[in-house]
Amino acid sequence: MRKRNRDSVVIAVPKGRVLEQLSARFAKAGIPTGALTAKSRKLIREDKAAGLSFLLLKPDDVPTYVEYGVADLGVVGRDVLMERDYDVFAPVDLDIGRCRMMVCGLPDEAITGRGERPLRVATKFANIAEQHFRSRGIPIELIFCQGSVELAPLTGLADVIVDLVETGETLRQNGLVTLEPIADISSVVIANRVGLKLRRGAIQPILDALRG
Amino acid sequence: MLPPASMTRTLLWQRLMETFDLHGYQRVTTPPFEYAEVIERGLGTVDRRDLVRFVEPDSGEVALLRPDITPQIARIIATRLQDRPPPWRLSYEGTVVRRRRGRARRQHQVLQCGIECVGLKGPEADAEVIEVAVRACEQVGLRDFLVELAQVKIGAEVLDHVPDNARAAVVDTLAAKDATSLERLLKEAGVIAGERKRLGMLCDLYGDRTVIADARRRLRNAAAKRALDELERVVDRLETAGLGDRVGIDLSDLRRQSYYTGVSMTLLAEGPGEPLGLGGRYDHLLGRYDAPAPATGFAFEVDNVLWALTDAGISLKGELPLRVLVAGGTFAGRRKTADSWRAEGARVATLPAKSVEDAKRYARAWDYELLVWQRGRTTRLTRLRDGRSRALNAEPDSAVVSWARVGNES
Repeated sequence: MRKRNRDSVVIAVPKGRVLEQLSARFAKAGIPTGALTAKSRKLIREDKAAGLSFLLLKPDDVPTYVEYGVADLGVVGRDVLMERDYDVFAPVDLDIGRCRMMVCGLPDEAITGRGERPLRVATKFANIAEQHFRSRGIPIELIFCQGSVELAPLTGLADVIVDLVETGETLRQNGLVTLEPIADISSVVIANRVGLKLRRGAIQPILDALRG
Repeated sequence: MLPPASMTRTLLWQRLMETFDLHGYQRVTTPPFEYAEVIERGLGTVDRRDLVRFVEPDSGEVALLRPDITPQIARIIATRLQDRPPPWRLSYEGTVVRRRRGRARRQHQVLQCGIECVGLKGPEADAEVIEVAVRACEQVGLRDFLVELAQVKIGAEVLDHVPDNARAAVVDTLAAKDATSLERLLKEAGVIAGERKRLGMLCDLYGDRTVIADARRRLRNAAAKRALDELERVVDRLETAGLGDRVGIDLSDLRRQSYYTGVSMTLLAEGPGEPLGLGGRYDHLLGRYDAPAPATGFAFEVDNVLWALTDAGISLKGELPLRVLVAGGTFAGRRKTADSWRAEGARVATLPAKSVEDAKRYARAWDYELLVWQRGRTTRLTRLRDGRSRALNAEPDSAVVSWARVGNES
């Protein structure tokens, strides 16, 4: 096990779609992004001169690295934070990666269930779905699906789905509609609870720049 | 956990307990499981969903593995120590069990050791408990750490304008310093703009003690002023104790406000990414056991302290007694030699090995520092770490013990 270097601020970022938007946002805030945007398969990108180090992770893993303090800061969608309890700070909303967590289904679907059995809900977001329907007082049968969850109502696997909706294009093409909003989602900057307090001098300027 | 790690861990909590003892905190021991009714009456810092409950087969009662030791201490004071005058200064060490939903479901068993100071109100008792925690950290060699103070009484005041059903979410969002969600949440709950602004700025009220003055300017009513005065009096006393530069303040963490009733604190250091320990004032707990008394306390999570020490490159291993393996020779000879090393404070085991090589292999595998090899009348000492050896023609003494400890040889 390697010991982490605390002279630089470690930022965990999600690989994939949001990364491009994120780099632009970082650049705009005056944070050097050379290491981040370089064409490379390296998962750790160090920028010694800037005192920064980036970890490229699967989005779902970002809060784990931050919670353990392996990374000081991280960027993650609110959906990931909602789905599981993480004890981290979330001091800056970046207002990128905007979308909504929604209940979706066929246009004529009754969201209160059918009377003869609990509402069947297919989703990757098991906890969010369960919490939402519990607070609405609607009994559900939860069906866990990793992806292409739109298939579930079309094939009869489930009555409705709970998923992220950005433009709604995939729903439309598959004949589904949004039935009920659950939460607004965007990317937020999260911070480890201890690191921010012990090395605030190095970390706060980054937060301030991103907030601006 | 295996040797030698299990031994340094034991040494660590023993050393923490020694500092407690040094400040007059006397040890009590409590059972690892209790009737749920007893513990749950006094729960505050542990989420009920984290409890491990079971039905006790003999009585049919619901029992649980203790998730926290403080309620047990409170009950002991309420039921068995009422004939002694306050204050009660007690310490404890033990494993608590939690189903931790957060943090990758990491640990279920948490070794804690802590202190409770019951029967004293006011900033002196708060400062005393904080100082003992700090001294305990210093005593085990930790140098870089921060004592962060919070004041949950601020919460009683600022949450006044938030509808009951939204309070839990507001407290969580505040604790996450998530100003954006907070604003949305308060708007949905119908909180007016002025109050939303007041709550929002709590997110940024953290830092050194100047935060208190800052808070005074922004929270002007009498209750908030009293809460800040109380906090300031504790900070003053910590400064008197020479701990001023270790103190930080965060006024946005109101999460344990149903349990704590005044100044609370967390101890932070690099390493585990979460606090090394937490504590604070809990004046209502004893009342739940029908013996009302003001109280304050603190508990370390021992493995987090160990983690911080490791991260700082501090090892307690060198402070364990010398470990000696006596091999070769006769049964009677090994016994006698072993006792002579024990008299010098060493930890000694014997082994009827066939060859010196066998004995060395065994000693290395089990982390012995010194091999004492006997053959006929001669005794040969071998330091395992660097392989150096010498003859010994007399009883062991302190000089030869320090030779045996690499780095300490004169």
